[in-house]
Amino acid sequence: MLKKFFVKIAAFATCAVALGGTLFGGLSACSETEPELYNFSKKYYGYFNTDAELVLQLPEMTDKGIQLSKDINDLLYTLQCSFDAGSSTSKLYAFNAAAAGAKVEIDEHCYNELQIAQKMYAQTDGFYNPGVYYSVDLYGFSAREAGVTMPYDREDPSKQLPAEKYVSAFEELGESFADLSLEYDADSGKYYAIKPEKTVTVDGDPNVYSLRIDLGGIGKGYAADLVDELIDEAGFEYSYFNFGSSTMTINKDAATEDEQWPLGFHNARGGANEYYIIWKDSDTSTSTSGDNEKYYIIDGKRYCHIVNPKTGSPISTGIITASCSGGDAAEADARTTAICAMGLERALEYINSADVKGAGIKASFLYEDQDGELTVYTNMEEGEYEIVLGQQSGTTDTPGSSDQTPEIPSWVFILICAGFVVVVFAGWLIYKKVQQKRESAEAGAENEHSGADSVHTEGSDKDSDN
Amino acid sequence: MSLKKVEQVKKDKFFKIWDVLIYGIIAAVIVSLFLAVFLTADHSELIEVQAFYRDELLFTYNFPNDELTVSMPDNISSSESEDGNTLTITFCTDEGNLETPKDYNIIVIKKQERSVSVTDSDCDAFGFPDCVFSAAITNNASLPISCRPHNLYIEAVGYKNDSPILPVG
Repeated sequence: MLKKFFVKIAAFATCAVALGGTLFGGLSACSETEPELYNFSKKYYGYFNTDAELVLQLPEMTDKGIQLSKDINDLLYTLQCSFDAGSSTSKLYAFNAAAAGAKVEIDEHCYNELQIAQKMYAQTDGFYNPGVYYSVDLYGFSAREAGVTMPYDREDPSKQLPAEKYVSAFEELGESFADLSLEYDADSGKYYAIKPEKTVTVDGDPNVYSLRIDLGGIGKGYAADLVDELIDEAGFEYSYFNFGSSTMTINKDAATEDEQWPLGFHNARGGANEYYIIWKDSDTSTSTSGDNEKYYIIDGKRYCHIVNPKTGSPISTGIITASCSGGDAAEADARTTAICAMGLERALEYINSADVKGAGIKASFLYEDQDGELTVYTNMEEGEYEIVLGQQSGTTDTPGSSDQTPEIPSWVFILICAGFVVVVFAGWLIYKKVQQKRESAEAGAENEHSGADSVHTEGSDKDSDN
Repeated sequence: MSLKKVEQVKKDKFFKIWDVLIYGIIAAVIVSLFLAVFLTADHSELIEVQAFYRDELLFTYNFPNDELTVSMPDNISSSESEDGNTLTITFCTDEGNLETPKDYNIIVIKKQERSVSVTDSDCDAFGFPDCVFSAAITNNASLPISCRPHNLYIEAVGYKNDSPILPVG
């Protein structure tokens, strides 16, 4: 009897919980006022040798979103024609091909970008320098046109390092970026860049090298800034644009209560889904640079695509990745590239300077010491970020919130609860029915048994009488 | 077997009550999850499809604008039906050619119905090319159509779920 009692109590308790859940779910559903949003995604392939992606959070797909995605495609094509150093039809290519001292007509985009480059060169004391074109090419990281060869090309780039005479010559040449001058002729509406007179030669090489510029460091950021303007004009408040995953312009996130995007910055020594720091931000741009994007290893040393303008060689400062959010994307790109080249002390000074922290820009970097120990440095206050070194993505909460758990729609919850209720009730009814049958069968069997006993007793009595 | 044992077995029920409950709960969970996955999928109207060959963009077709954008013209030829409702795209791999179709797939886009399907292919699939037998793409929840022998992949451009954390870098 006690067992039956407990079984009934358990069945009722389950029903009560399921019913309570159903009611709770129903009430939650009723209290929902915000429409469910989806992510419309459009990818762009091959611009600036990488891919880009537009994401719009929309209540439903609209032709306006499709039109925006096409406008962005047109814009990216225009920009590629303007300042892709690897494209023979670009204005920057024409500048690079010109002789030292030449005055070269460029277009507005190229002009604007060179102005940003000059500003960031000055702000970072030359640690961001787009004049490292030849150094980047020397180490095999530029996007050269097919079939073009240079005297300094190595037979086996995966095993040989470039000749030191080229490294020092190109480092010296890169410094002449400081002498680049830009002109705008208001009467004709034309833009010009005047190439510095500086040239270098290398023993045994007949070529005379003049300044060449690689705007790859900020080109994606500049493009992302213009795309963001298009997104704003089209009125897509909840959106982001990702260029090559290292440069992004973000607006608001409809999926979080505070409408801020939780940003996870990749650990350059971790797996694909490992971050080193997470923070939240909205209506801004973000950038990250690291020695893990493109690199090769010779004799155990890593040679990456970020060249230190002060040495003419790939960075080896211990700063393996740098990230920031705030300000323009083009400036953010230049900033993170420069931080990687600065070295620990100079980088700490820079991220806490008036130009960065004073301007409200969030910055952090990951430093690897000689023993391979990783340390995170940031200019943010405690609580604004979370360090997640060594953790897999998805195992961390974003700072200052707990609203990142994916929510199950209320009606799914109701459906599941209703299913439980039905099953539990059905089970309980079956149980009762079976129990009743069993009890009646047992009662019948007992009656039969007791009847047989009494017959047997009577017979015995008779026998004894006999 | 003794009579007592036989009676005991006869009395035992086929299912114990808790077996029924557990099986019922599992069934309810399976049904609920199936419904949840099926009903939460995005069945909104198909706006655009894109096709890839060897992971490179092959073409896109936008239904509202009736616009076909071909990225690999050497691998694609297209023709429209007289009533303008059906766009037939012939794709061939780099090993085949469009003149005398070899290594090809025929992709049919029905504009009014907003559907995309592969109607013919000479891919080596033992006479049962999956791409031809795959269901047409008719909304954003439709499964992509792929032809593995030809490295062809066709999908709806549309919504996708996002990670809670936006990865940078």
